[in-house]
This record gives sequence, structure tokens and C-alpha cells, in this order.
Amino acid sequence: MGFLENLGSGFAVALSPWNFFYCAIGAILGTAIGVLPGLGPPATIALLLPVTFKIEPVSAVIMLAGIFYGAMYGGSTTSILLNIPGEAASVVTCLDGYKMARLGRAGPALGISALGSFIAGTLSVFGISIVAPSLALFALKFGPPEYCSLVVLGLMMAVYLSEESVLKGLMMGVLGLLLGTVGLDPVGGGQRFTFGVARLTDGFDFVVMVMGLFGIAEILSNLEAPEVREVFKTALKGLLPTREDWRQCWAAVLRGSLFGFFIGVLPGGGAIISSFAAYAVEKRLSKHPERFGKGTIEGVAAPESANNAASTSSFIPLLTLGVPGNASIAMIFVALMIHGIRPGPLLLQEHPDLFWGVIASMYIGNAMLLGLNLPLIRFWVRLLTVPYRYLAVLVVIVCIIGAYSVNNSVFDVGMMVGFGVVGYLLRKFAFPPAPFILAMILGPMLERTLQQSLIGSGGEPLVFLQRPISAALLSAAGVLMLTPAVKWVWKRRRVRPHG
Amino acid sequence: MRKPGEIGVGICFLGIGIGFMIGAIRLQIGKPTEPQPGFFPFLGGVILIVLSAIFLFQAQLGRTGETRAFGKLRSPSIVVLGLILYVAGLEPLGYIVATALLSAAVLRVLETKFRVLLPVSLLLAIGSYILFDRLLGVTLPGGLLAKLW
Repeated sequence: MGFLENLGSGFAVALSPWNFFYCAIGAILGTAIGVLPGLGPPATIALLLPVTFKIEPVSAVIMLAGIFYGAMYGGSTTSILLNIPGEAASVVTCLDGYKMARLGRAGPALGISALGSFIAGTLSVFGISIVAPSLALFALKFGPPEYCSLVVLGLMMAVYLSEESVLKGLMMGVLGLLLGTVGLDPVGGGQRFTFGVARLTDGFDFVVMVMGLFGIAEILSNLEAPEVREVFKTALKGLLPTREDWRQCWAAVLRGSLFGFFIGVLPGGGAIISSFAAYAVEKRLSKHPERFGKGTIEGVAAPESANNAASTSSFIPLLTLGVPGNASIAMIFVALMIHGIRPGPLLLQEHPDLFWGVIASMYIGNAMLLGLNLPLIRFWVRLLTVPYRYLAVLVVIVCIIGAYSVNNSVFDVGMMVGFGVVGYLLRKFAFPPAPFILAMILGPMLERTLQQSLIGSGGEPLVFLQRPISAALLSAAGVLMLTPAVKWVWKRRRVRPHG
Repeated sequence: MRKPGEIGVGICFLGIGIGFMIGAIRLQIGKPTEPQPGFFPFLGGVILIVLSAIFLFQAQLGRTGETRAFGKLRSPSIVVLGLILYVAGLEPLGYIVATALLSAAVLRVLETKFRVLLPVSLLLAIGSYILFDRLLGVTLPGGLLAKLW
């Protein structure tokens, strides 16, 4: 079947009434959690995992994907109107978006952010349709050493691209790998580090952990100094950007989309880093860089396009290589595994309906989000006026139910509280949680492929460097690991150029 | 400048690394051609020990990067305490009673007036029970109220 036939069959799957319904639910929920601070996409996806047990895997992934990219649309609203990013990926939108609102141009700022996101999302989905099948075909050549090196590279990227220090990211990654070994040994089947606790036989539950690390920890951090949220009072008129606005920012939208797409494809790459990179590039290329940070429309268009393109293209490593690139995609990985579907190069052959159905649903979801965001912008703004105290209680209740519903167990609620406190403390000491979650999920795959590679090569550790793809992946990981050290030496030399 | 908090965190990581390494040795490590269950955790434990040692060294010199200052700890502490009591009381008291009490505590911490606090707590507890237990089929603990009815 050709590309168009495949996409056509994907649309047939995505447009079935139930899948369309779940796509709409995902897009609405995603926008809402993007608008409201407190419960990010990983925790929301984790919360809905138990709900997806009862529905078809295609519908489940369509809904969860909708939450993820929907949050990118919603996140910009709070950045523009409150100077508070609803999502980490919208941090950079605050710089010019809020200034535009203060200058009485909140409407065009919200408008270009929704339209730019739509254009970027659509272009990115088109890119996935082309790139993903070729990459899946290429990945069929991978053996255990290539997979082992790929996981190492993915984890290194997650560590390197996290905002905090590389050393802290590495420590969190290794901690995740170690906690991932709790439970049954994936090779021999024996129990490890369970200390006789029956509940730990299956290891730590991801839902419980994500609820604690992302949900409860966020609430505890916010309780320290409850924010004073004041929606910027301005007339929301003229949401559609003018012709002059378009002339000024069409190139920024296209460049942001391109940037976002390529950064999102990288294992460990994602919406946050792409929005910062797109903003920096746009500022550098602009004829008027002095306008950035003072309310220029390109400063909103570029990062918003980039974060949406990246959130869409970050499905590529998941669907083709079976390696999730960020915490939200990792939750979708878990959802697929729960349904007995192994993401990876064989997904396209074994479950073409799921592969193309999810891609087609993203086209539909992007159109739906445009419809949700522009006409309903006043509704989302009203949602922001809900006092934080009610939101905080709601998030706590939702986390409790999410953790409890996994096994109908109070033990899991207790574990979630524990992870919440640990997550809060780790935030205080600037330890990033994303490498930890990714490492926990990818740990069993890393262990299995490492052991298979070593057994297959007669215990030869150089097997990873003797195969070209594996060697290339490991070299890239090595470069990433050495970059901070090289930077440090370079900096010291510049400080003391003549000894 | 020395960072005592970070040194504490570094020691925790070091302890975890040592714990996993010892546990892995007990599980048996094996050799690369015949790895045993302890092989992978042993490698991880050793790497974590090395990383923690570097971190501790940097913390001693105050070079571990930026941290976020602790704000007023009263509110988060009360909420954590409330959550611990909630876990202890969830099954005997039941979802609705325990959740209403927890919601009231969190709302009080966030300086909600008493006349608003009670109806909102009850509304959240009963509303979430109806939504998740009755409509979405999540079985939540009945506790006290289930016994009464």
C-alpha cells in the first residue's frame, strides 16, 4: 500500500465515531490542563491510564496523544494573559506574549499562538507520515547491541537536555535504572529487591510514581508561596492576526515548525528545548532583535510553533524505535504495553491500524484544537479565574483516585505520597524528574539488550563499538557526556588566556 | 561555599548506590558471558556510587549549581501530614469522609473561610465519589458510611 492509501485507512480509523470522540476528549482535557497550572500532561496521562484499560488500544492512544499535544495549545494562554506558563514548554512565550497583552494586543498574541500551533502541528504530522515508515524500516536492522546503544543515547539526551546540571540528571537516570530493577528479573524471572513485599513483585507502578513526582510534588511546591494570579484585564478582540502580523511572522512559524520537528524527533528532545531554541534562532535572524522581549509577534509565533511541532514529532522515536523521548510519551509507551502492544519497528507491520490511525487522529486533533482555542478562548480565560485553592484540592483528589484505582490499594496511595515528598525535595535541589521516569521505563529494555549483546558476543564488551550503527549511537552519547567537561575547560581557558 | 543540604542529598544517593551494590552481590553477579540477576544492578550501583562521590566533592566546594530556596514550609508540611493521616484513615473512614476531611484541611491551609470550606469540601468529596465510583466504575472504599447504610 502506498503512503496515501495508508493515510486514508488511518483516517477511516480516526474518524470512526468512538475514536473521534476520544480524540475530542483528549484535545479538550489537554487544553484544560495546559491552561490550568498544577497537573501537567504526564500526570494527566498517568491518571487516565486505568480508564484506558477498558477501551480499544487505538482509542486509548488517540486520547492520550490528544492530551499531550492539546496541552501545548492550552499552555500558551496562561503565558500570554498571566505571565505564568501553564506548561514548561510555554515558558519562553511569556517573554513577548505577556508584553503583547500589556500593549493591548492579547487577541493577536493568542490568535497567532493557536494558528501557529495549528500550522506547525499539521506540518509535523505530515513529516511523521513520511519519516516514520522509513525509520521503522531502517530500525528493523537493529539487533540487541544497537538497541542497547540507542537506549543509552536516549537517556543521555534526556539528561543533557534537562534544564538542570548534567551530573544531577545522570544521578537521576541511574537511580531510575536501579529502581527499575525492583520486582521480577526480566531474564531469569526471580525476585529482586522486593524485601518480601508482595506489592513490589511487579515493581514500582508508573502511574503511582508519576502522580507523586509530577502531581503531588507540584502542589507541595506551589503551597509554599501560593501565587497571586491575576488575569490581565484586556478586551479580547481581534483574535485573528492582521495581514501585517502575518507578513511579520509567517517565516517564524515555518522556521519554528521545522526546528520543533527535528528537535522533537531526537530521543530525549522535546517541546521545552525546541521552544527555547526557536526563540533564540528567531532573535538572531531578526532584523530587529531589540524588539524581542518587548512584545513582538515573532517572539510568540516561533516558540509556540516549535513546541507544537516537537510534541507531535516526538511520537516518531516511540512508534518506530520503541524508545519514548520524554515523560508524557513514556506514559503512552506504558499504555501500549498494558494493552500488549510493543512499540517499535514492527508496530507498523503488526498494527498498521494503530500506527496510521494515531497519525491521522493528530491531523483531526489539530483542526479540533484550532476550533477549541479560538472561539472558546473566553471560556478558557474564565477557567483561569478559578481560585488556586480549589484547583489544588482537585488535583490532590484526582491524584489519590488515580493512584488508588490502579490496584484498589491504599498502599499505592501511601507510595504516591512518598514519591510526592521525594519529588518535592528533588525539585528543591534541582534534580530533574524526567530522566528518572525515562530510565525506569527503559531500564528493563537496557538490561535485556545488554545481557543479550554480551551473551551473543561471548562476553566481548567491544561488541557495541564493532557494529557501525551501535558505534555511531554510542559515540553520540559519548559526545553528549563529554560536552559539559569540554565547555568547562574552554571556559577556564578563556578566563585565563595567558596563564 | 559548602552546601550542607546538598551534601545530605549526595549521601542519600551514595547510600542507595551502596545498598544496590551489596544487594546485587547477594543476588550473584555472574560474568559477562553468563550474567546473573545481580549483574545489571551491580553496574548501576557502582556508577551511582561514582557519580555521588563526584557530586559530594562538588557540594563540598559549593559547585553543584543552583538550588531553589525553601519557602514557608508550614503549608506543605500540614498537607503532607494530612495525606499521611488520609492514607491511615481511608479504609476505616471511607472515601467520602476521609476526602472531605482532607479537602477541608487543604482549603484551611490555603486560608479559605469556614463558611465556604465546609460545602466545598463536601461537594468535592461527594462529587468525585459519584463521578469515579458510580459513573466510571472505580471501586472506592465505602468505610463508615457503607456500614451505616
